[in-house]
Amino acid sequence: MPVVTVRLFAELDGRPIEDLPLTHTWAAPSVRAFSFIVDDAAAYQLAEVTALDTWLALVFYTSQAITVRLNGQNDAGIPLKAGGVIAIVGTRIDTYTPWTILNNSGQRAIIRGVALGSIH
Amino acid sequence: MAAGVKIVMEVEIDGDMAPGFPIVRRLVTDEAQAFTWPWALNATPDPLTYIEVPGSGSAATPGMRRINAFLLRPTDTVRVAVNGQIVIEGAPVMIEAGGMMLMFDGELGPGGTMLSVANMSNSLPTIEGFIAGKHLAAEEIPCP
Repeated sequence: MPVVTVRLFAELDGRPIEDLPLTHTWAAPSVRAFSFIVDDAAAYQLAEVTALDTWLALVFYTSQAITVRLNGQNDAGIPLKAGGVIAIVGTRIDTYTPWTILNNSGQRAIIRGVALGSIH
Repeated sequence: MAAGVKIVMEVEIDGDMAPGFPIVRRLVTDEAQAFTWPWALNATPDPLTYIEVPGSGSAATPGMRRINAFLLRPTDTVRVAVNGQIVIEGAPVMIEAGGMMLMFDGELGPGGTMLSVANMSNSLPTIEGFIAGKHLAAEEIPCP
């Protein structure tokens, strides 16, 4: 099984946050490193990254402002600016629509990241 | 006074850096605060009771008007509702003990409950992390 390590360093006003960096390491049945385009559209689109039935981690960033809904969410979502990042580690997302993306930035958005999960 | 927040994130697959990583991001916000939040409400799973992350602010409580970044690291399993998410059982994202949820360079709010947590464990989790965001903009401050 592939082994994935996510490491996060963070500083507030130039000072490292206590107990960081965080390091999470797992072996999981399946890992997907992805980079895909989401066209400008007026509606949420089901994001790519196929063949994962249960997601254990998702780390990604976007080149344009988008809004993300996770785990079948159907309300406001999480707005990200261009360059914005979401990292969810140690989760269990297994809904039919694990994530959808609204890109109404006027430009194509490139979504890049890694998803870790299992296949039933 | 402005507050600077910086993250560096690395993702490795089988010892090799994943394509597109590491990434470095910086933000300047009005306020940033690290916190350690001991849960004091219930030591049983309660998927419908969400409590605001301290300092995160909402329509009803003081705090940040907008959240541009947050990190949550629970010691036990929780669910996290973001940006006024409607809470129905099983919907908000679950973060297991020792996991984390990070948003960086987003914009939650204004109004509503921007960031809240429900305990999904049989113990009292401690949630560590930080939030960074903006205060009321001058044009948003109501006239007396």
